[in-house]
Amino acid sequence: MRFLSSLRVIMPALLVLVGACADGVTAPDPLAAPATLTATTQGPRSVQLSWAAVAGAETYEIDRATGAGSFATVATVTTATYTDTALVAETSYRFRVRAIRGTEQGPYSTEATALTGDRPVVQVTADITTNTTWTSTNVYQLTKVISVANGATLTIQAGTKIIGGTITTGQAPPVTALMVLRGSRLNAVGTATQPIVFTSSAAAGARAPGDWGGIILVGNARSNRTGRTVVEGPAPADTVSWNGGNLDNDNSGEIVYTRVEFAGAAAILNVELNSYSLYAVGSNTRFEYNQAIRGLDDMFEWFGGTVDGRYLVSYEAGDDHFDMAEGYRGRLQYLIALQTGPRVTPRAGNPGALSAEQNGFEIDGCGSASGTCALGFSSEPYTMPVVANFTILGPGAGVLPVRSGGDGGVGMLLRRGTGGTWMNGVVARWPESGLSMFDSTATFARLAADSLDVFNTLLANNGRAFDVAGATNRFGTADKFTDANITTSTAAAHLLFTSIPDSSVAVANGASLDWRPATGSALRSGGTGTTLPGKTGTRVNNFFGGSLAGTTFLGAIAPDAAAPWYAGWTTYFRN
Amino acid sequence: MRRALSLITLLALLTAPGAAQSPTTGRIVGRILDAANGAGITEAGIQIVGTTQGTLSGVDGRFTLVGVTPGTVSLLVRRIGYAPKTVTGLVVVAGQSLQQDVSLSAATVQLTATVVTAAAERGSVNEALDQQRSATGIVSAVTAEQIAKSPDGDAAKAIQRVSGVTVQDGRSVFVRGLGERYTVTSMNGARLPSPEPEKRYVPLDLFPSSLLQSIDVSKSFTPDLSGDFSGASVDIRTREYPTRRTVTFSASLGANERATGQSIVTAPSTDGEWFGNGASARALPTALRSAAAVGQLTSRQQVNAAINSLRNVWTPENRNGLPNGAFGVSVGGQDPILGLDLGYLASLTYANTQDIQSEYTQANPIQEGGRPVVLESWAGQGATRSSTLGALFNTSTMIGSHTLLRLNNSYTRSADNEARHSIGPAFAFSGGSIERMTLRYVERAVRSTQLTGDHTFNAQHQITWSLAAAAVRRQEPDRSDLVYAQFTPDGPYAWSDGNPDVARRTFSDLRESNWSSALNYKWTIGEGAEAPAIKVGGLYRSTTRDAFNRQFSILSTRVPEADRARRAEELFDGRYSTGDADVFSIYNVAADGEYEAGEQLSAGYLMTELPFGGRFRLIGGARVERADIEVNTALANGGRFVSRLDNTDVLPAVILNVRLSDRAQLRASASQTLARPEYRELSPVQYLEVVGGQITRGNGDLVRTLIQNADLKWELFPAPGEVVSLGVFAKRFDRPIERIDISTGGQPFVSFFNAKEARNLGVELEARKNLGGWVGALERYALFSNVTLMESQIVLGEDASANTNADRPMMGQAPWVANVGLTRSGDRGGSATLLYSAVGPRIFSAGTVPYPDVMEATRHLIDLSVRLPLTERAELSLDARNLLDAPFRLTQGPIVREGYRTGRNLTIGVRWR
Repeated sequence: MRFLSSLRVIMPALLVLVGACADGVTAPDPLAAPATLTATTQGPRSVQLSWAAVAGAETYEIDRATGAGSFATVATVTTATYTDTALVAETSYRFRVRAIRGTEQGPYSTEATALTGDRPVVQVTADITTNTTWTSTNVYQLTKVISVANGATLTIQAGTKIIGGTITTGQAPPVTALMVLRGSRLNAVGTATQPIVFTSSAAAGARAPGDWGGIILVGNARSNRTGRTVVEGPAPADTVSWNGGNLDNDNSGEIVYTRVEFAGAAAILNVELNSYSLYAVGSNTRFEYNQAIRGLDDMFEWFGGTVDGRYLVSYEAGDDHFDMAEGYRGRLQYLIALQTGPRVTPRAGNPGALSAEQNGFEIDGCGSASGTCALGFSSEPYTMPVVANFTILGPGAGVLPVRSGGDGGVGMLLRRGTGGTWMNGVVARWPESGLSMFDSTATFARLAADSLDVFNTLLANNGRAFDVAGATNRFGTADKFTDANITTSTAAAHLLFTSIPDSSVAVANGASLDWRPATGSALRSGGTGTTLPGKTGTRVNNFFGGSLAGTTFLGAIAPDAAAPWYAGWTTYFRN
Repeated sequence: MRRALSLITLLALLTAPGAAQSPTTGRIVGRILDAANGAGITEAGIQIVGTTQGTLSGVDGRFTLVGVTPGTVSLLVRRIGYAPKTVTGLVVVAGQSLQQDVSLSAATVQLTATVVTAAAERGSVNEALDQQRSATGIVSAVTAEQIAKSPDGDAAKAIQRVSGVTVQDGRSVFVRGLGERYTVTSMNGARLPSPEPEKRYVPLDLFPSSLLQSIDVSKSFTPDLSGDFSGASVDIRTREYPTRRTVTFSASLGANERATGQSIVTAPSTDGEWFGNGASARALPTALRSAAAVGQLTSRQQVNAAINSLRNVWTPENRNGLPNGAFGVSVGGQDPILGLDLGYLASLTYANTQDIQSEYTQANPIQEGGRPVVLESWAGQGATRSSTLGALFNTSTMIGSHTLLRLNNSYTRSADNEARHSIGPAFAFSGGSIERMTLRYVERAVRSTQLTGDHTFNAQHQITWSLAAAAVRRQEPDRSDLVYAQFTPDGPYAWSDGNPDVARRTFSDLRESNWSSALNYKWTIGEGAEAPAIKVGGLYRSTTRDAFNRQFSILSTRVPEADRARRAEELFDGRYSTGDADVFSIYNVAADGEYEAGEQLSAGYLMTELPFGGRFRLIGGARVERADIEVNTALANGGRFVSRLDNTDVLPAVILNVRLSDRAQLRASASQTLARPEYRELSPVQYLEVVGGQITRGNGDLVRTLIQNADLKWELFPAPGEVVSLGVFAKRFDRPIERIDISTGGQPFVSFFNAKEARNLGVELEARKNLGGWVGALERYALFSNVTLMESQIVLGEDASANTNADRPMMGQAPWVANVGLTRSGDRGGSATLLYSAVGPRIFSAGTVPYPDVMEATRHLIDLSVRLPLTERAELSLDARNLLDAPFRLTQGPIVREGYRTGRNLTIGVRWR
């Protein structure tokens, strides 16, 4: 062995010697392209390159490209081998090499491709009770419901991947999730190119809704529940009380450029977690650029609290896309929800099931009939969100359950004593109705008090636009919105947008959709403009450092926006 | 063949008295009792006056004199330390046994010899037995004699007549307002396992009252009782054999005004149900047995096969209610068999009854304008057809005069086939009207076998031992819950999409068994009633439980609109589930209702009985008990979760009895006892309750509750068979376990936690009095009554994990319980009894704030029983129950959460012996 390796050193030296001898005789031959370039993955961050030495080469220049991107030189070496150690895990790279002699540059070798290895998986087995950082060089696997407690901050670097799965080892409950308790923070700030991804531990292509739990944030803002009211879900979440907070500007951290995929696990039927559960989260929390994909329950659910949000995308819910209740008072702008067929179903054997009542928005005052709502649905503080520029696209007919009362698939379901403002949005393709208002006593009281407003919105291609007169306990009939600039349409909803498939066409795995209004789309106008009507203007201040602006367009993105806010970091996966 | 012949011979022997030969002498059997405490006196000399014929009493004071010449004789009974007594006027008939018990008073109380008639002696024996029940502890009882005069057909109905006892849901016993977790039930002293999956209690309606000798309710603890006694210990004593060979037949026929002959909601039945054996026809289909299997069915053929494997029965039918009927036969006696004098009793009873909940309403509240209003409500009817089968075989024999062996066997089986139908608007259906249909079949069986031995040596040493095994099984196979919804106002009720609750089938099966061995030794130091005694003993009991539960939900969004209003039996007749039809899906609802539990209990005690000063009797000691409980829950992912509770406790008790006079006494007691969590409560896994259907989460941090008890009771015995007593009691619970509702952002659930403490105080008043003592004309009338006034308070503690009202009584505790009865005795043993019972308004479940507590309203029950002797051997009975047709109501503030009427019942029966 030692003999062989010494040969490896001696042989090139001999070759150089031979070349030098020849130099005196004739002009050197032009440099050849390095032959047999091979790239061998050495781990999650490094690839080893080797090639046949080129006669006359003094050095070699090594170029690298990420994926299908363009090449850039990363190193110059003297030997015919190189190990690139500055790589990102689970990424495909192309390499090429050329020989250099003085100023002479030989031709490039043929390209070699290598996929860096998987990042090491760090098992997270204990609750986080001191400040902790999860780095993008690792994958973190949740092994149970992990609590961030004791005032600790969990920082997650951009590009980090966090996985969770169904536990099969006989632990109770068999559910994984990340739960940030009151007083603790989650700082998960990704970037558009390096989002932080929370996903199923199953391999891509084999993932299913409800594979793991989701993210639970418990803040210290107010809600309208009294007594002790705990997080819905498995142990130990079901011992954590989330109401009783008193600090509306509480800070639970920063959740930016994240995706939560295939969450919503249940320990038993009908007790599923939400992809993003925001319990009493306060207004100093930063919550933007977040996407939930194929969760088994709600995608974004706010239980009380005041946190604002923007740039939120929900794809394929097992229950509702945007659910607000228990006195939620934040402001939200630029929201996209997309539901297509067929119905979301959990993995075989998963105890969870999809809801029979799937809606775009499902907004409740105090949502519980079972207690701890001191004044029933109309408990205070009222649920009073301001929601602007929403694009809520349903699955069309034949996908969602149809039930008695006809609430199987409503774009905007406002009920149980909620107030709030909805404007500059579009609600389309919902099988039952576009807008429905429930609870003729409690919710109507909010409408009568001028606290519940829907205006400057397009209701397109829904089973029906409004509630019909005389329906049990429903009052959201068209006559309630005569001055609200609400337009209705029966045209095909997907044609409102630049590139969104028809409801009969399945969205491809990994698709990138273009939500910008199509040419001539009704979404290009009809908005409020910058002057907001009624009481709204006073409710939109201090929104992400400015104020929530009125727009002339409808929906979640401006017509012809140069760089769509959802580009790059959002994606649409079915499994 | 030979065995068959001997069986026939035995039967012939039993049923044909005196057929074999005509004997020329008779027998006298009986017991010699201590008048002060009813305990048997051994080594007492019994002699037939004027002859040399005599014997010594043996174990338990029992004696048998054989070869007595027929005629009228007198007995002389003598024992050192006691005043001698002569009983006159015993009529001995050739070939027959005569029973005569005799009580002796301690020589310190009564010095002179007495002479009494046989008839009078029976009264003083009764009194002694009365005293026995409360000799050491504070015991209340309802005896076979009292049951016979009441319309109470089962133990649950009979036990309501005991002071301070209430019965919830017709089967679970609350003593002094304490929930079922504070009551333990045994049969002839050996613990009965619980057939309930989520609670620990023995449903007493399983035991036909004709099998009962008495139901004794001990309310104060002595170290020889089980430590988890806490509130009370209920001991069901099965009948003892009669002295004379007796065969009894009984039969009855009854009607309910709201059910019999009326069109009522009825569950379709299967074969075997009449004999409580319908479970096999409803067994879980193999295709559905494995929890994961349903979720993993991949082909449509497999899914359809799984759905088709279910019994296609969903909808209750309307049929005319059948009458109630019951019959029983028993044979008992005491005969020499194989050289041993064998006492025996075999009994078989069967009853089939139709219970009804008519005018049934149910409602759920919502808070509006500061008070609860109705959110959703349903109205309809529920009805249950029940069969109960009971069998008993008890036998005992004396071996020599120092050894008594007993073998007791019992088996009871019940089947309840329930149908329920209601209609009303539902919150979950956005206020739309729904039709709810439930079919439920519950089968319970309890068997118990005990072998006990009782050995006495020279009157000072007594050893008793027992080996017992008992097992219960509760099956609730193939419960179906179906919800149809109305899509358009006034439209038909129809199959509804998607909601996991529209079509549900549940299969559950629970088995629990235990075996125990106990050994006790009592050493009486010295002679006579004043002699102190030391008692030591030990117990080992092993219990195992295995609970199985599977729940399936069938859903479909693809039933064509035009077919949705069809009955479920049509939708599931195969038209949508044949081949690879893609209409219905089937889901596992939950698998976490499955668990196994085991408990090993070992206990030892030492106690002394110390009579002193002629008037006092001090009983004191302590019990050490170790219980090791392990609960092993099956999880949805196939894994298991183990919870454990292992405690060793020392439980002291001291009791002082003071004899104030011949007819009055005072008893005071203080003790510490405990209550352990029900097995399932220890498992911190969310599961769906089998019985209540609620999401429930156990709590692995639960600890056992320690209870300090104090009792004081004054009793007066004005005349034989009469008693007046006044008692006060106080209990303090350290860390009592409470069942609480927990709110979430979504589905609420139920859990358990240790509250800080609770207190329970009360006064018990009991009187049994013949009115002839006051007014001569009322000599035939006897009045009895017991009234308990109670107060309790639970302090939930800082943890406040409960959202229930922080300051309230303990759940189930009523402020008062009253029982009053008036009996008129007729000639030749006939009687008429009027009974009243009622329970003050009590918390059925604690309200979640802001709701008030759910209260069970007072129900005034009046029953009438008449017993008419027709001939020497035949008796006619007439029973009327629930004469006021009092409504059952659960209220929450102004809302009636649940209400119904059960109707008046009339039963006519005959009894022949």
